[in-house]
Amino acid sequence: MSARNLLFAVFTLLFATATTAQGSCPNKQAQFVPESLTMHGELPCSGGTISFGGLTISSDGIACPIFATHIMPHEIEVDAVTETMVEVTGQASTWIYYFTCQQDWLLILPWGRSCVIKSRVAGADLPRYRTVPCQPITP
Amino acid sequence: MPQRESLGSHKPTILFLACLTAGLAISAFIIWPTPRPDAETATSAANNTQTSANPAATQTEQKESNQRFEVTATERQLANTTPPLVFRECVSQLCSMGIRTAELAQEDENEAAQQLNEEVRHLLGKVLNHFADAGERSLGLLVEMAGEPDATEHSPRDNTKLGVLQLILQAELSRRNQLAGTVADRSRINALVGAILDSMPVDSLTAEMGNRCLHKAPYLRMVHEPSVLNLLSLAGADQFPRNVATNMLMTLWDNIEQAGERSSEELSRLAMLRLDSRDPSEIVTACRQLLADPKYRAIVLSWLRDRKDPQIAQSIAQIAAQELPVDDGIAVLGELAPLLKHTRGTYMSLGLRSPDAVSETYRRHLAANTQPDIRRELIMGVGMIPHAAGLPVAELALANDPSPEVRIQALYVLTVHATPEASERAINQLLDVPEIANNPSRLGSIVLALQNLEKGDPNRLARLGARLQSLPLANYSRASLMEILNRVLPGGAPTSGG
Repeated sequence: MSARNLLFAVFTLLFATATTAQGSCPNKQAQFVPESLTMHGELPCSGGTISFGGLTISSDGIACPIFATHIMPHEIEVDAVTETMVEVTGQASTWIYYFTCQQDWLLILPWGRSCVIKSRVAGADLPRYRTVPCQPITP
Repeated sequence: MPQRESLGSHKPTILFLACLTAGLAISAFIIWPTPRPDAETATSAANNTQTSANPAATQTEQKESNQRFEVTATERQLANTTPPLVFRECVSQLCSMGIRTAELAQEDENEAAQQLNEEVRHLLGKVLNHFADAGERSLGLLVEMAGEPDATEHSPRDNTKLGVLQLILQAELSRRNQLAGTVADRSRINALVGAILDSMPVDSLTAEMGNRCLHKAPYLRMVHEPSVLNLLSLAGADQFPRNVATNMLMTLWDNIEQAGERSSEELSRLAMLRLDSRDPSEIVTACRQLLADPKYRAIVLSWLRDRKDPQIAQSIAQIAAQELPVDDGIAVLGELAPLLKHTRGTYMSLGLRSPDAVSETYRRHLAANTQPDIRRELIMGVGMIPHAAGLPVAELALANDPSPEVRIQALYVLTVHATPEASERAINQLLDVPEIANNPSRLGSIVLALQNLEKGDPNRLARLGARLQSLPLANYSRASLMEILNRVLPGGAPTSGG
């Protein structure tokens, strides 16, 4: 084998070793997920019946949720075509709001005031990620 | 002495005076004013049985007197009529009454508030009775409000007015829907619903009003499909709220199936075609339709897994948890679990509907030691609902689950529903476990759970904070812990090496 070919083989072997020593790059990246608010259940607040002209009709009033889950902005780990991985940069709380009706017998309920937050609690958490390049190992 | 004159010489004078008197009497009789009709009527009624020498003349007099009586009666009615109702003023009056009722209720003047509330109900009934087009008039006032400058900022009176307009619209929709069922003619209800749909793109106010009046209500029908599809098109161009467009489409499909305008099988076949739509509302509605049909459920779940879209998966998971039978919902969420790792709380609707079913599912998974991600969500699903039905299974998980993440989730449940002393014991118990105490991410979760204890004894937080500060917290967790302690402790958080 010529010296040139030998040098090429050594170089290839070193490169392969370096790659193997790094472990395989996971090829992942962080994908942003915007915050979301999801209502659950229904508390019937107000409405009631109105009678006139021989008819009795119901007004649906306003239905408040029983609780709501508020997931803060965060990231998820997804596949990437690049030599990247994700790094944890923080944790985002998931908040839960418990509701009650402001007054459940009033016929007229103004917008924006009918559903009262009784309490707020931290229900869980989610990691926050950022995308970083996979670290090569220097020989 | 003069002699008495004889009577005969006065005869001409006496005769003259007699004639004069007779003439005056006859003149008086002729020119005396005619008696009034009521008097005449009463007189004629009293003399009703007497035979008249001239019946025709009497009948004519009667007619004239009756006609005169009717005209007079109408004039009297007009004189007694209250001013006509003016719709705009009625709405204003309802607003004022509504505001006053709320003020009285806030001041604990409950009796006065209830009485005024009844007057509101009475006035509302009058308005609906008087104005057959109350719905259209309300919509007109709403569009006016939407067109005002600073339409996004609402005063308390504006919010009350929106409440009044919503009440009138919903009452009118209900009335027309009832009448449509009675007379088998939906033209009036369809017209009002069409007007509401056409107004929805005007502004966020009209969109919200339409959503409140039509979502999950029985009013949308096949005739409204073009208008609903128009809303989807606007949502696709970011000119209309996506969630409202989806609500309208889902309600439309429900109603046309309920009304027999399309069969369930027809809708399912239509849904299969819509899975390839570009419109997210159509996709979500199609998935919902197919999930509800056991024949198609496996197909749509397979389609969702292949599509790998976490946001659509999250939407479908919420629908499944809220609408499917509980056991079916649990199964569907289990199938979608790989797509739901980014979200939390998907099992909570199921936990609210049936805490026992969710608890039992957790116990089965625990016994088999399978699916730790699902076990964590099941604990959150039953443990974080407003009442403490899930506390026993959370305590079971804290003591026995092999997964640290599941046990930390159980800790969250205890911080909400258990005593503060039990929460402190649970935190210390977890911090005694090396795989938790040496893991910054897990320690960070425990720091965030401390937020639920902020309103309690500050000494407890100080103790727990001190222990956590001595452990290898990540920088972001250490900063969060300092914020919590600064909020709770007088004088702020003590500094401590980590």
